[in-house]
Amino acid sequence: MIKQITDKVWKLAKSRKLAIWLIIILTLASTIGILVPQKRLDSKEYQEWMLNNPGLIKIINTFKLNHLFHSRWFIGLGILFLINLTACTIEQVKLAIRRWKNFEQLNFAIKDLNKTKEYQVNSKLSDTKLKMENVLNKKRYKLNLKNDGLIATKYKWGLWSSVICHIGLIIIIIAALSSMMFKMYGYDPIAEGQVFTERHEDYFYIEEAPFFNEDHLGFKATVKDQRIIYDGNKFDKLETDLAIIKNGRMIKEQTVHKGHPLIYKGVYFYYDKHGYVPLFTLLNKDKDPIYRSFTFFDTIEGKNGEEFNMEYQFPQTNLKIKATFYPDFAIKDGEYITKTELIKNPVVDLEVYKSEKKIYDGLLKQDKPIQLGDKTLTMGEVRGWTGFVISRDPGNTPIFIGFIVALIGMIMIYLVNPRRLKVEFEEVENGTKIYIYGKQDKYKADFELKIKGLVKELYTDCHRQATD
Amino acid sequence: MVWSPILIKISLLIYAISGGFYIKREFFSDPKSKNHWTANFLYVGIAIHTFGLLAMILETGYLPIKNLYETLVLLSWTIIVIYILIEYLYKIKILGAFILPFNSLLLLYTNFLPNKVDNLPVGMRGIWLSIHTSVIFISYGVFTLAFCVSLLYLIQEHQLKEKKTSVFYYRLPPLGKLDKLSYRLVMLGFPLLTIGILTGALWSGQILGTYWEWNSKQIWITLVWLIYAVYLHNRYSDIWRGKKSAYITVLGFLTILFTYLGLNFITKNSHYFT
Repeated sequence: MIKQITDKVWKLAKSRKLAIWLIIILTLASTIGILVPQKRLDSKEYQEWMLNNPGLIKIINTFKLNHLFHSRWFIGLGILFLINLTACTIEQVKLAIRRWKNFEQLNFAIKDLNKTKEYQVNSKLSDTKLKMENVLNKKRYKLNLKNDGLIATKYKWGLWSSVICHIGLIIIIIAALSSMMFKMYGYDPIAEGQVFTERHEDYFYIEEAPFFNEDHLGFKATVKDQRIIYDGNKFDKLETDLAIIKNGRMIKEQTVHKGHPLIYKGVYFYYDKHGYVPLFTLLNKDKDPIYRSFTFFDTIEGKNGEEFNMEYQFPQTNLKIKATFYPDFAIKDGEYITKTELIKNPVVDLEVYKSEKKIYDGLLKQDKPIQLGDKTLTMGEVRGWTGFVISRDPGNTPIFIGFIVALIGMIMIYLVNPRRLKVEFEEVENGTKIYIYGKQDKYKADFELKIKGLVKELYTDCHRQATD
Repeated sequence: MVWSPILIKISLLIYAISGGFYIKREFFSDPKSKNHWTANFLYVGIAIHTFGLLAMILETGYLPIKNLYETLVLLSWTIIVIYILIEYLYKIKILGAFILPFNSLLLLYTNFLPNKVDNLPVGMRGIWLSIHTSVIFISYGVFTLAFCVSLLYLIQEHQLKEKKTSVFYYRLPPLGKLDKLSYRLVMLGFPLLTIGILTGALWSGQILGTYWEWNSKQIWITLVWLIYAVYLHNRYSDIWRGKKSAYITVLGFLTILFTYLGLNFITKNSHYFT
């Protein structure tokens, strides 16, 4: 009874139908994930979408459709797919073992004959046998001598190619699932000189997979310097000198730019974007500072390239500002532009509101204070900030290994063709008759040519011997 | 002076004329007649197209991978190069009567697309992305041809089944030949697509800190991969041949078309360059 049940479960687990159904379900689920904005991709878009579709909120929350690719049911589907693929691979392993064992067996070779060739040479049986062995040895066939002939095999290890490819895919799926379950992915902008702690509550944005275990590594990171590199008059890249500090000591420093992350104990710091942090000082009528801080301008894609904008309410005041920052300010055709991204002529295009009433609309230049009623606002030193994507993903290395294994398997499937030959000899009146049987699963026409080539070589050898 | 758009437009014109010659020869005159103009026009077209592509690379300083315009020009070039190889190796000339008009439409579409010669954004630099995009588009080209061959198979199969013969019947190659060619093309396209997906993931890991973003393009290209994987798997196990295989190839190509062009109209995705 138990055996019957286990047999049925195993049959289901390895079935092709299950694979196809899982692929269809995973595709449909992924399509929902495309149509419903995911929280981490664009929170603004997500919030707007939720506001426009209030009727769907309950379903979305119940099935976690807004966080679909990390939801438990989607991971569950992935695990089912992994089980299915593993079961199919186990079946393939069994088949490969069977084929491996039987590869040189005489009966098997004869039973599965695809092509049989009959030739005759005019040399003696013993000489022909020897010559055939030489020809096959030269072609790097592995020989198994029998009484009535020989069995030659080549590329036997190619029997494992499909298994290797599937193992690669299994590793990729395991790595992807472990990422979905245990990954941490966050974002934080760090200004020059600012110190960032790796405590998760300090991140600007963070996403933790359902089974992520937060074990603090106890380090801090700081941006020591950042440089904008120009290629001629075009922006090329931003380089940031990022340092890791532990117990007050700098233990690692590296220049980070796009595609060149800093890696520390499995935590990756990737460059994402950059911007500016001017120092704003707001003084009251007695010239005492109410506010003095480096203030982040966000970087967004505008119609003329990158724009650096911010909206900010000064604490303990009713003053709110809307501002655009120009690191290298100029006016072109009546429009404000930045000539370069280098901090050469920093200017802020500023709108100030007091209790929603606009009280200032103009430019704020570096070290040139402006009067806002009884208060004074100054822009001082300007520094840069770099936004880092910070991730810790246990699937990183395995996925890379999986790629390589799958690729090796695929290359083997295409290029390595296990082949075997059975050669029988029969002494006849004026020479020896040779019967060649062969089998190769793929590229049969090519195999035919190879057999012809072997025989041609044998003929040449026998002929040479006769002449000698 | 920017030469590439001019050269691409000239090649479009020549492909259109060559397509006309192919249709005339295959459907309105004796296909065995020696009409050298048909092939000669195609060779001139591909030569100018190649120069156009090279000019584009020289003008921009990178492989044509940045936007839809560039990738379509590359895709169209791939389709023609592979078609010429097929014509040479398999002597299936009727395919040209389908491929060339299709390719001309593809190139015509590029005329309506924005194409600004500019620096390649920092995020799009690197060897993995260059390999990823070019290999993916070569595989798309191969699958386009597999689709056309499968279509011819289905037309021929339908005629045989219905016992109704049309002008196509005598001009199309035998079913076995079409089936084998389509299989070989999928066999060629599949590893290219696999390498394309893998290198894309490596690039994403290097630049964005995540190998897989679950964006719409990635999900749909995986579906394309799975369709062709199932095709090859079943073909290898001798389960599907002929008509079923042809339908799967058509399905695979339609999924490619949706992934490449259709998705951009439906969702906002981070594969903004295609």
